[in-house]
Amino acid sequence: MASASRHSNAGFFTIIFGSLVGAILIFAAYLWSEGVFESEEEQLAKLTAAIIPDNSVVLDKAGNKIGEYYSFYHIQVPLDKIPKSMINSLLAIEDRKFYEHEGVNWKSIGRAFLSVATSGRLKQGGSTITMQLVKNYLLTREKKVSRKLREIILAYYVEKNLSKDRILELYLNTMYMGHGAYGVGAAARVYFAKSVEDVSLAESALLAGLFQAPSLYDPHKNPDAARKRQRVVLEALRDSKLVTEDQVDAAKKEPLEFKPWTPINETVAPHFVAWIRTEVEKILGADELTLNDKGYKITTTLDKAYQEAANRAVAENTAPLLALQDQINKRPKRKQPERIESALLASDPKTGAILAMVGGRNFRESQFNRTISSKRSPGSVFKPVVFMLALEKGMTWADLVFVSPIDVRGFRPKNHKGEDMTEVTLLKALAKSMNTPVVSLAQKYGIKNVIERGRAMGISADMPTETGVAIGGFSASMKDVDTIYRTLANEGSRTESFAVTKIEDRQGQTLYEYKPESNPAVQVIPPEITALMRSGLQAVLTSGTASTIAGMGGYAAGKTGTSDDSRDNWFSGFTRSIVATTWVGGDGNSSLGEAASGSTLALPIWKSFIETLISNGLPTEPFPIPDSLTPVTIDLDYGTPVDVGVTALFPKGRLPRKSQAAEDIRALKQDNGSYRELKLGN
Amino acid sequence: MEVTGSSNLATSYSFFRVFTFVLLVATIQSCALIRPSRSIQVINQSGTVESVDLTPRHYKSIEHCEAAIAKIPAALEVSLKPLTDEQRKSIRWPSQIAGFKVSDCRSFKKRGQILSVFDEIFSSKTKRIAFLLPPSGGSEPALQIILEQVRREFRREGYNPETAILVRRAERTREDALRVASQLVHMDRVALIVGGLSPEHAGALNQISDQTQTPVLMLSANAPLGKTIQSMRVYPPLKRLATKLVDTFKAQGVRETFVFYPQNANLELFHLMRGIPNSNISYSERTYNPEKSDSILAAVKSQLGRIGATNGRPAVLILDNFRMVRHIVNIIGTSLPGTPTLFAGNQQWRSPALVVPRDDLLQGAIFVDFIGSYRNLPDRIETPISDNEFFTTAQAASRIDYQIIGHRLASLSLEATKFAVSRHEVANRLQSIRNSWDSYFPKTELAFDHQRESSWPVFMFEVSGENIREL
Repeated sequence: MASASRHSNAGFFTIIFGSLVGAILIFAAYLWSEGVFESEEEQLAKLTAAIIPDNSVVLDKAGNKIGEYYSFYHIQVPLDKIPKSMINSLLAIEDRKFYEHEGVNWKSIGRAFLSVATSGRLKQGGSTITMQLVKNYLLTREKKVSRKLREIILAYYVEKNLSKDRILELYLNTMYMGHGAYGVGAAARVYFAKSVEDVSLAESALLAGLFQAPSLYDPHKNPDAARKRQRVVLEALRDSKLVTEDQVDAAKKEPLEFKPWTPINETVAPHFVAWIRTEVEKILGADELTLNDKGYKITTTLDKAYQEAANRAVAENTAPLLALQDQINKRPKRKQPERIESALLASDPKTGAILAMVGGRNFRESQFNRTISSKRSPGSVFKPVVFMLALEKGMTWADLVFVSPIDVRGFRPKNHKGEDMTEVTLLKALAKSMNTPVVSLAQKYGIKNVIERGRAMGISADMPTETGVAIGGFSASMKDVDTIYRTLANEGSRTESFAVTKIEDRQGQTLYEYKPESNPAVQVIPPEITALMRSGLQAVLTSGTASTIAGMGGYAAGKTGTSDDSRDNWFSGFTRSIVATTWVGGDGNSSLGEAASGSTLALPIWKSFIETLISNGLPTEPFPIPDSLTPVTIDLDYGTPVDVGVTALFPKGRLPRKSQAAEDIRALKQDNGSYRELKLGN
Repeated sequence: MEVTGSSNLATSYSFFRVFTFVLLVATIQSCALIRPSRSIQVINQSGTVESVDLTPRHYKSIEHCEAAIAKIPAALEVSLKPLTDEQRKSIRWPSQIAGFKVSDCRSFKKRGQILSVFDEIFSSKTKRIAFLLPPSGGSEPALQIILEQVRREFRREGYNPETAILVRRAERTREDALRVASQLVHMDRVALIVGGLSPEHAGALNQISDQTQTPVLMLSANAPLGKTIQSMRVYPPLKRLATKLVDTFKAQGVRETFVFYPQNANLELFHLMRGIPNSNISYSERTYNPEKSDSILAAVKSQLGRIGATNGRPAVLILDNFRMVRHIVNIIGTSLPGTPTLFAGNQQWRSPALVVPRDDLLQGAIFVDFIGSYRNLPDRIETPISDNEFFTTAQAASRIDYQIIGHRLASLSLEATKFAVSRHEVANRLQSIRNSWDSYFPKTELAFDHQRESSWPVFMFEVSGENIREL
């Protein structure tokens, strides 16, 4: 019996032991199958060699940040730059024993298992900062025992391989903190619109409270919950004695001001920053994902001060556009609402560097970049190309041209009322932006030559071999138009516009650097012709369609442009140190009405922009005059030299003089045209 | 028998008596003829009034007397009809006019009286000329230039223009023009009348010319000339200009001409061109309102297709001023670049503005003019000095045209009345004199051709670079 009993007991223990071993083996097999015992080397490498994600930043030419590219919003901050209050707040609320444990706080783990035992579910984590980092970096967020075990194991190994400070730095820079921000640097910017280095204890406490449940305590969405959570953190600080009682009390009294966060990509030069991404990708061959979070430093040609002036100029002149938009959208039978937009592009005449870019009046509402992606009819801003051809062929500004009504195979360009059947100087035809003389000149000198000249000066878009091209009857980008005027401003030498000067990776290694010799200026128009043309464009300001800025005529030149039915309204002009092109039109290509024109809509933007720059020190020196040319003041109608008139440049060998031809025209007009008619009687 | 002897003696005596009577009568009659009993007041070359004896010149011609009888009542009727009784009483008509019959011409005595009256009415020994003009109108500035030139040239020849040149206005009705013309003939005794600026005036002048043999010089391009030789035209030579153009067209192989002209244009040149027989040139014309650009464009546009499709070289004749020419050429050139069009026109083209600035399309274009070099104008016409002999100022150019007309009128009037003693003789002289005294006009030609058109020089110019050259 006893032996049977012993045998029976032995069998029982054997069964129990076997079952236990089996269970252990099964559990071990389960853990094995769950990957708990997978090699740590590979996993740990992710952390030990971890590079904290960082936004690629876009800088202006002076190194000011104007934009950043990221999939998740980061601002990397070294630990030594993070305020003590921030670190203390984190430690107080998340892991007071951080500097004491080896990655695992067993007491906390025990509490966690207890909660599993009592409730059957893992209600509280009991994770240390190291474990949270491991979980965030290396594991999934599922609440499973196996994952927890793996977390414990990995935390242990992390502690063995990384310093406490490095673990803390990784944690503070990578953890999600709501509202798209990762890390305290990004969170400080998102919630307080300041650098984390500048946050107070109260603000640090609030930020530290976000780690547990960023969405729940999002200050923008749930400010009250966020404040409550801040109090909890402050109390934890008090309990942990990491700060004094007084500091906690003061922090509690400090009002928290949550500032709405506008990403820098939407504030300084949003369209430019968005465009630069494609430019960088062209240069590096990178795609969007690889450019994001890479921590590249992309230096551009943009001048932040110029950009701000451009933003202001567009904003200041938006009200009339909105009024016009309302008016257009109230038109009967209108199906799609029209959106009236404006844009500005500025560049350096010498180098082609883009200095400012406003692709639309509101980036949030419309990200479409009208300076680059939009192709619109340039209208009269293209006319200087034709006039330049005429000057090259030997015409002078004092030559008379005939403003005749013309019709070329059904194409019937119109002039302003009262201009038909008149005779004016070439200068007046330009200054007043008359249409038919330009078409006549183009026909005379050949449309193909006009197109060839337009291409040479900067038009990259297709130009049909049609007469309408002469008055801008084709589609071109603002960038192309800007290039034409840059060529004019640069003594006839065309440079390609560019914006990226340098790309560095996060280690400071240069990936790309702009070489001026790669963008050599190409002399496409003789300098003398360019100077002649420039003086004509100054007359546009002093006596033409841009006479509202006549005061700038001494140092600036430009041309208005209005396409058919005022669908596109332009002004492109330059000084010796900047070229700027402005455009106003409807995204739906609606007619903006008879009152709209380049003079009334686009020119005011240009004016505001340049005036701001001048007040900030933009030089206003006059254009140089080649030795072979001389300025002469002429009568704008008849081209004869006068004391009071409009000044333009003339070749010294072909100075304007009193012309009998002009006098005859004048006499004929006064005589009702009955010249030598010999009409005696009836 | 004795009776017979007595009879012979008586017969001889009777014959003597009759002979004596006839001799007496003849003597008396001769005395009457030699010593006219009448005189009339005339204005001499200096413009002063003097009394001139009537000297019948055609008293031997019964036929002439009969012709005179036929014309006197008509002339009187013309002059008297519109007059009031008061006006009629005030007129100093010769007393013998009334009651003459054709048979009176058989009477030697009456024939002398009739012819005396006839000469008094229809002849003039004056140098006075008259302008019969309509009320002030569109042509007035031009007429004033003409008058001014005539006066200047009369003054230079020693006449007092105030009395030697009469200017009378008449309404634009034939009746009123006849009335005034008749007064000029019968009361003012003018040697010739210049006018015809309206169809009514031209008609009236032709009638008065026909009835009174008064020379009339028509100033209008299209006023019809009367049937008699006294009716002539002093106007630039449109027919010659037309012929010159057509000849050039033919020489250049032009078969089709497209004509553009403004509304109310003077189309006489074109009509004359079209009327030239056997030219083998077809004409297609379009008119436009010069004040409306759409009208101009429409006119040109309507022909563009045909101009472009013309076999050979098309000609485009533009009867408008140089300014409009430049516009029309501009329209055509812009629409049809490269079409070898021969542009042609008239004197209205002539200006530096036609060629400056240069238009390639106008190279080789031609136009006709009745003025050549401005340096070769009659010395009595003042011309602004220019570097280019073919151009003057626009103001001067229009003025010079009328000054030349005025010069032609004055020159002809002075030359024709130099020796003439009657209007008939003035007319004859106008028809027979040659231009030799006036070097500007074709020297060897008669002053008026067989169609009674005043002879003028004709010039053809061609556009060459930024100038014109005479062909």
